[in-house]
Amino acid sequence: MSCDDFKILLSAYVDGEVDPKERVEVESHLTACQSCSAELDQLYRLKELFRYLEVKEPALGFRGRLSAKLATARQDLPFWYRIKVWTSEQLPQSLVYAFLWLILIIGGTSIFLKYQPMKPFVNTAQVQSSQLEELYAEDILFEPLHLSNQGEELISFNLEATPFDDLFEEPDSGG
Amino acid sequence: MSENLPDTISEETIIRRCQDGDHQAFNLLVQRYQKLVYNFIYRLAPNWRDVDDLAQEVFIRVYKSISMLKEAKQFKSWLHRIVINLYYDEIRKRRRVKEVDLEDNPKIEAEVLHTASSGNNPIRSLEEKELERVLQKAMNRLSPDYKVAIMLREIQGLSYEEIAQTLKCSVGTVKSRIFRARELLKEELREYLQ
Repeated sequence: MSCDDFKILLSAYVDGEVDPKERVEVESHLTACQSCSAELDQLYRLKELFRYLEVKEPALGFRGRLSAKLATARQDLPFWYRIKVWTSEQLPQSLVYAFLWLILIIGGTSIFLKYQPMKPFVNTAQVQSSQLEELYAEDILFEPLHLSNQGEELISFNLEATPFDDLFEEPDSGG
Repeated sequence: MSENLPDTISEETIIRRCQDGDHQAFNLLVQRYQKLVYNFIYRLAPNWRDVDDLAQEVFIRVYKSISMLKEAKQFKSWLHRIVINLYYDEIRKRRRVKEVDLEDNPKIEAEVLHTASSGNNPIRSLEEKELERVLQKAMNRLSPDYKVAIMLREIQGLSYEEIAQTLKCSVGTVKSRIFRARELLKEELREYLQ
């Protein structure tokens, strides 16, 4: 590697941004090369100069003036973000989260109920006889237990009966 | 939700709260970073007379887009990127309106650089002020890309990896820009580096 190649490495070296292998290469080259050693000294001196740059601070009242500008900037924010800002200013955060959870639970429950199959709700139900055919057709009802004729014709069903029992016959054992 | 935020609150918490629209957290964020932002813009462009307004513009941009910041840990890089984008925007804007360039007007240059170096600290020696003045003058002659890279390293103290992240370029590019910036500064400041 030539001295010119080392120059770029030296710049990274003074910043501590070389890997261990490069460090070894640079350090062994420096012991043998006076010109690169002088270059390294210059780089360190240059780094030193940056220490003389005083840290500048904004003028007094910076945040006050910024607040006024932010109030105007808020008007340009998207609607949903303004709602978010408004709730965060006006309501305790815990209340906002509780409200969101409540909406989530109510919404989730109503969706669950909407798509829940009918079968579990028919257990021990009393159904009008006019609906019987439909219910049988949809495989919701299985085995009628008894009929009652109090006022309207009502029938109750037992879902505990195994619905497919009668589909399987005992095989003839005697042959 | 306006309970007082302690000064020791972590940066990540502040940023999350800013993303939730908490004004008090945003004030704390400004308080923590105003000096860093102001000083960085000032050093990038000491000849601009509206550094205060530009620093405020940075915080307005932060306020408007902080909800889009995905990782709170990346805040510092993200903030620097906002400053740098603003700096490039301003360069373009000022070139269009042909604002007086320091290079063209040595009288203004001397005046501005004098103001730049006359800080509030009376203890600083004349020699220190002179070194600050010549270094700032040399940096003003660097191209924006080199100036940004060397300042992110020497003034903002970012690692090469962080600079690459901020500038969205490779570490190799960062290395090369810093090297070239130093070569040019060495040329300009030869008599001060002997």
